[in-house]
Amino acid sequence: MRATTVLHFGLGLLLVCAAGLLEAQDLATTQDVSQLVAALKNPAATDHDKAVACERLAVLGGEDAVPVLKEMLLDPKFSHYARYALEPIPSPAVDEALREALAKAEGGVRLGILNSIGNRRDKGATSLIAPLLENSDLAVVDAAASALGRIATPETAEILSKALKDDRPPARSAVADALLTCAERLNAAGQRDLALRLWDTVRSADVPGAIRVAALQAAIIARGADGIDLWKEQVFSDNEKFFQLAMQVARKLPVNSVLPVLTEAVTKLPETRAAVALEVAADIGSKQALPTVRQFAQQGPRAVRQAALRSLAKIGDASDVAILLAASVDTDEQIAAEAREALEILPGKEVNQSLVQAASGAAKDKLLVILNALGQRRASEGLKTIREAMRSDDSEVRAAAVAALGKVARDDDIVTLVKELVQTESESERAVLMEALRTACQRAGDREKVAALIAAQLQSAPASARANLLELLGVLGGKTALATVAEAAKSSDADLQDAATAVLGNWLSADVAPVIWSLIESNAAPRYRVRLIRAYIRVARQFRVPDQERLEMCRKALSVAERPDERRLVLDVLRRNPSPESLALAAELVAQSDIQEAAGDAVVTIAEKLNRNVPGLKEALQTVLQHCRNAQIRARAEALMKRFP
Amino acid sequence: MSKSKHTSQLNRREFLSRSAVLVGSVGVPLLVSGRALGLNGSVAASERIVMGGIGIGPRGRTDLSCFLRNPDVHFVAVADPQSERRRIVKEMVDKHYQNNDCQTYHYLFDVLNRDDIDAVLIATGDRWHTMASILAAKAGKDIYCEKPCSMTIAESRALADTIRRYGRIYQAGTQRRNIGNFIFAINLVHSGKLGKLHTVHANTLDPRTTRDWLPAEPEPPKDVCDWDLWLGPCPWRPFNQRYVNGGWRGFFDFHGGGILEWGSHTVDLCQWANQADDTAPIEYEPQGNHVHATYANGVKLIMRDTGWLGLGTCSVRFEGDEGWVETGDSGQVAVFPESLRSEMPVFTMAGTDPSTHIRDFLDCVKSRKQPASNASVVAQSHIACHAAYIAWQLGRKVRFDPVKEEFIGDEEANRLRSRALREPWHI
Repeated sequence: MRATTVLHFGLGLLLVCAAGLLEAQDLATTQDVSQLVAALKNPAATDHDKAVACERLAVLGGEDAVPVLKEMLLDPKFSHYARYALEPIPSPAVDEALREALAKAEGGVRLGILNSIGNRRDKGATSLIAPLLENSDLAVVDAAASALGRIATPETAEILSKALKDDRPPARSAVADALLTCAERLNAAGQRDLALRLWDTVRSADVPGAIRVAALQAAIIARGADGIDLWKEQVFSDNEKFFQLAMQVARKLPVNSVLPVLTEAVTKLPETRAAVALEVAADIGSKQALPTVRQFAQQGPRAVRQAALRSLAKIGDASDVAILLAASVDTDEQIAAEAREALEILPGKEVNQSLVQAASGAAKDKLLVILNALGQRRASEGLKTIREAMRSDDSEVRAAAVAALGKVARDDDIVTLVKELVQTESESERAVLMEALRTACQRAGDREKVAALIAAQLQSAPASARANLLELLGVLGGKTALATVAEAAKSSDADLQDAATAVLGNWLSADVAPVIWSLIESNAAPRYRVRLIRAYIRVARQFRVPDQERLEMCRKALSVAERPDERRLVLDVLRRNPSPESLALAAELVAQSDIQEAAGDAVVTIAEKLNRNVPGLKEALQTVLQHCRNAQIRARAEALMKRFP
Repeated sequence: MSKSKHTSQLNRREFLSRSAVLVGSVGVPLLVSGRALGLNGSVAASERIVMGGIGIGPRGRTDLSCFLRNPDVHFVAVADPQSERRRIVKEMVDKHYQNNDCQTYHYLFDVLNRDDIDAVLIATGDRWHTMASILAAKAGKDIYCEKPCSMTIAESRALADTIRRYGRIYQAGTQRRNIGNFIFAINLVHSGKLGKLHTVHANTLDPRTTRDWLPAEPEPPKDVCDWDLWLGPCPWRPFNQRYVNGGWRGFFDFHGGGILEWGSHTVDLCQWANQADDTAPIEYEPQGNHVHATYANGVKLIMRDTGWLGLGTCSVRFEGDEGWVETGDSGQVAVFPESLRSEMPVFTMAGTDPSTHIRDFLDCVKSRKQPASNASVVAQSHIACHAAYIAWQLGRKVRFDPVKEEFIGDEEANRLRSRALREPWHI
């Protein structure tokens, strides 16, 4: 078997070689067609050599490669590889070779040749292919029909149309499918009348429904405005597939012709279909469909009303707030949920103002909906309303207001919420406040300022709130937050250590690495040492770090990782970042009995991605073969060793 | 090497003969409108979307668990060439429904031929995504397919064309189009709050793939692992267990490389940010493991695997002349100016969570609206990734015509746009 060959040449090859990665091998990268041809003629060449040569000839081959490939066409073993090379060669010699082979071919080889002829759209092969439509082997009929469909001339259209009368259903299916392709290509070439005739023939033929649907679709769309009557028949068809087709095609027809039919359909069709028709009408008619949409948003069968509410959310405006608010407290929860969702996304800035106005004097159930909508819409116009609601006597209203404030909050509001968090003794209130604060901190405009304000609360906060504050600092990120959390990790308070090290373990930027290392080195939180080591490795694995720095982090982690689990994590980092240095480091670990397999796998995986000339590669593989017992890893290592003389 | 190792014609023949049962059958369960069914109530059997699975491995099972959480989904069958994977999925589905009803099949055609199945979840390896999606579309199924959706530019085009031709709903598993922090970042661009957009950055991986073959191992019995079917339209090579255990990534015949692996998510988001869902960049220049591309409107697309702020995998960054935003799978968002943070909701959903994306698909199956990651959109973003990988392979700058989907004046690049499929497969 040929050694590793990589598809890579030219400038890319130079760059990759310079980076110490795999070099391309002879056959896959040669620019010399004669070498490729010679490989195909060489009786000593392996199957793999020939396969690679054919794939390369597909890119480079010319007429001079055709004779040897032609000889392979009738060989079941290499016919496909020969076609792989021949198909893209832009020479009439290829068409001649394929035609000649078709006349002699049988079985699967014949099917493949037919396919290649179809891809090349060789009109000259039409008379050779046509008789195959009567072949007793249905696979031959299928391949022949498909090829004729792709060749797509008036002559092949005629041949296929006649074959549509075949008394074998699978043959008719294959021919009808080919006619769809043929008609499409003829239409694109300007032969619209012929294409229409073909589509009409297929849609009324005795063929599977999916094919008839396809022909019907093409027949309607190609006729444009003249296809409206045919389309309307499908809207009111008893057949669900044809109705579905009508809904899909409606989007491609003139709106003014389609909209009245859809409006009629909403009132006449059964509920489920009426609902689909309404949504389609709203999609394509937009504002023109609003009167119908508004009507059904207020009253109608459930599915239609839900569809109307969904549509109103897309095409409605501020004047629809009242309709949606009324529906949002409907006794039918599915209707109410749809309306609430609509209020969250109803387009237009004026909607926020309408919601604020509606909040004034609103009953509790509507006020809850409004608060939620203001929050979801990030409606700063609603801040005053939300702050007022926070002072409500009703705990449910207060909770809704806090949740909304989290989503709308400005930096100053965060401080207010933090103070409430520190003061509250209620677990449920704390949960609501934390949810709001997580949201607000993610959106903070000035992270450093907000972090400083939260840090200032940390010392005086009760123990129950400190972990929360540290978590919020983690959400904020930045220098102040990191310094504060690091300090907390050194605290003598075990709970604070626990919370701080957990936050460091989930930190969202690589600047946490030196902080964590410093804690490890100084043995600052011995109970959480393993957690910190894992957090340190996580940064090396997950974040943008220069390669040399990442390697250094791996070395450092290995120097303190006593358990095999953490050393395996380091190996994973090395495996993900292949380089000569990562190979060397992984190879050093192969002799360690408790991680031998993981180290062996890492070495082999890295080696598979490197140039064979990388210093130490061979020795690293030898180390794997010396120490590793895993059969699969050994087999991969042995395969790689074959690269070396 | 025997002939049987090189062809899958029996599979396709079986499909063709069995497909006779489909003739004339267009009846499907009645579907109801969007979220009318919601996630919070029981749904009548006749109103459920009946689903089957094709090639459900670890990622597919994550998708499947999300589908199962939707009460308007009824998952009834799975097809996989590996018996162990079939068993695991059946166990998972049966446990969910508290019955023994999930059917298991060796061939995907047995799922596609069932006319009670409305939609399929496809989560095979990349090599099968286009083929399985096209076969499903032709069988009249709606499709949720894991990414990457195609192996080549030609497959991307064939996929989009077939889905459009057959009028199917197709959602690629590029779920970040339905995840809040990414949408927030996109909206910042589209609202003009970052000023005039000039550069978009997509987190990609090492582009390399290998032409290597793993050592040959004895093929397992066909009913345990059907190697020929596993290979599908890809070139034949000898069996090795590592491939079928998920170790197929990185091999050129099975994998589109690291640009496509993450670019199918991140380049896709960049396309959206640049309002370029109907096109692709016109120029691609490799720079080490990175590729720098340029759109016709002058916006630069930088595909790179280093230099990110550490906001999680699959990060993207959008830069305008008045500010920038960067976000990733952690849900964290970094913005400049920082005042833009005050417009930001809190994002708690991981970028890998497909649940909202799957809900979008199910709603669209009912409303027949195009979902966020429809075939037309993902074809373009995949074409951009493939074009970038081609430039990287060639090691030179290439120019691309996104309308003709051709490289300009570069035959070698053009020849890399497609790969001949192994018989009997065709698209």
